[in-house]
Amino acid sequence: MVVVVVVSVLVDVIAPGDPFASSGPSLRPPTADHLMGTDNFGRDIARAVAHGVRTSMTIVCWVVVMSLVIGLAVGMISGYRGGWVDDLLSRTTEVFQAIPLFFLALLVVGFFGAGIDHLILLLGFTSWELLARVVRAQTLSLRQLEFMEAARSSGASSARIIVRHVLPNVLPAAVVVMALVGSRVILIEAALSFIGLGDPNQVSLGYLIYSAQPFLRVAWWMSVFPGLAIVVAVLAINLTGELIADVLGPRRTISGARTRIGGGAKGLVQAEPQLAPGTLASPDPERPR
Amino acid sequence: MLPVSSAVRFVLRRLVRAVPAVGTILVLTFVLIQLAPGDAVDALAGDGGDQATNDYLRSYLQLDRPIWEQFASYVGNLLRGDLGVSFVQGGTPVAELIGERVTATLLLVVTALVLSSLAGVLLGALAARWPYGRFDAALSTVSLVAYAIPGFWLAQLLVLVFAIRTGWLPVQGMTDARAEYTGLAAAADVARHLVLPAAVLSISELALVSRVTRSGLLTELSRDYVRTARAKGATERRSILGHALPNAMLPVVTIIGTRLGLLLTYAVVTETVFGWPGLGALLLSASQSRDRPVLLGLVLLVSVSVVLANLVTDLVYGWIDPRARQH
Repeated sequence: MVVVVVVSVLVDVIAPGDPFASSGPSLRPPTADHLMGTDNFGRDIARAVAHGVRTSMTIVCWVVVMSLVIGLAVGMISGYRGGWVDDLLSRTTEVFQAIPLFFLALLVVGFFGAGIDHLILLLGFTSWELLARVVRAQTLSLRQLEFMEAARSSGASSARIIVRHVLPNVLPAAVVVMALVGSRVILIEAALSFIGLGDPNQVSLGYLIYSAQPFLRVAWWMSVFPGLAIVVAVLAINLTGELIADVLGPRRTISGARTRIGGGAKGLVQAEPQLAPGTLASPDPERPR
Repeated sequence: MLPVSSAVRFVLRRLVRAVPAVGTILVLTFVLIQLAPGDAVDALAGDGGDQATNDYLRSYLQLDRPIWEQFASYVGNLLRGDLGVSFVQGGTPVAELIGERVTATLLLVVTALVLSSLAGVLLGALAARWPYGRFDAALSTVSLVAYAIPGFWLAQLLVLVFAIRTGWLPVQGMTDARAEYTGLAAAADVARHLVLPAAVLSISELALVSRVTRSGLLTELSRDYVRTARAKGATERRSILGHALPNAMLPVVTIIGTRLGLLLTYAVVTETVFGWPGLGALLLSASQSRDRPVLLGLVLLVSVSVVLANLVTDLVYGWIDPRARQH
């Protein structure tokens, strides 16, 4: 993760120059000059990959911030308030969950043109549904605990309770979920630009792999390195999410999610929808009471 | 009021729940069309059209009607299965374009669904047999990585290794264009072309299915009835396969609906790598030529099938597990 962040922040220092500019003979295998080889226009792949990583991370950051705000608000309010507010918000969440994100993104790009800003807005407004459900379940189970009772009986307002007591307790779980969302965003963006719907003015990892397609027979490096970059970025985000969750809250936040993010939490993403609402935050024997 | 059995009520309740999802998809797509810069006339006539023609086209396409009337006719057309005509491909109905392609995609998706379900359950069961053992650890590491690999890249890697380097499998297409096969030979030909794309689709799914199977099995294995089975002297294999697995299958069934949506998404992208003549190729050309009706038709088709798949899953689940009908 450190590498990914450093690359995206310092891209102009370590890989200076225009990634679209030619910098040597075309279709050369990796050498000391061009660590990842060059493409059909003689562009340096290492430089393109560095810029691509930055594009991905920019999108991820914005989307994560947007869905964090929406998801936390929806989840905490619906879990804390209950009643018709909860019903309404839960139904809305379900609908968002039923819409295949990739196809929606495709439609938006097809109608409004390709652009990072469109992509960020779209993914930001549609990626919060998982977070909302997890936060809601957590909030529901928090409500039962004694310290909440204590806060309520000492006259704290709902808003104060939500911000001071609920928020810190749902944050670890939220971080795990956001890591998942972040990696999903990278993959969606890569897939979109792979089929040629990325922002034409930004280097994107998916686009690099797309342009490698006709040259698979002669230049494997054009495909292999950008792909590796995606894998590293996704793994980095997942593992960091796990790490932050461990630091923030040393208890098990979501049953199973902490053990192994890739399988565990992905299983959670997919398996959860049909289960009863309480399943996510099932009472955990290890949680201090 | 007529007495209605609980089963019928369950089915009805689930049907009603699917309606808002489909409704939202319709509204959302309609809003997108309205918001998009330029309308159908701009797309059809281009920049050079004169005002009179444009006005005629607008009234012909009923774009001058109030917005809610347009929405009503939009929904009405969709309900009759009319998806409009392609802007680019000489006015061919979108439904026809999709119909030509859908079989190839279904073949691919269903193969991957079956393959990954069987293998995933098997792997998950093996992992649960010796939890936290070497196999379990290996499996979870592999699924962690498998989740991070974009399907289209995996597809290219497989093509590099199994088609280009070794020449074992065909690089592209669904049939061998140079040979005329009939009967079994034709099926074998398609099967050979199917191996790589189906493998790509299955691998990302395998991780998911095996995780769900594993955790489901571990929960079931700690229950009393499994202890009873073991106490009666049932072998470990029999306790797992005969007693625990059927119950552990419930969550595996549950995720089929979600997986279908994912698979369709991955299939579209995977198809483009392999030149598989399915919906993916259509989607690709439509999105590159900004052929809006085709794009819209495909998105609607996929979204609605995901909702339907979820509905069917719910119903099947309720049928297998009567407890679920209570909620």
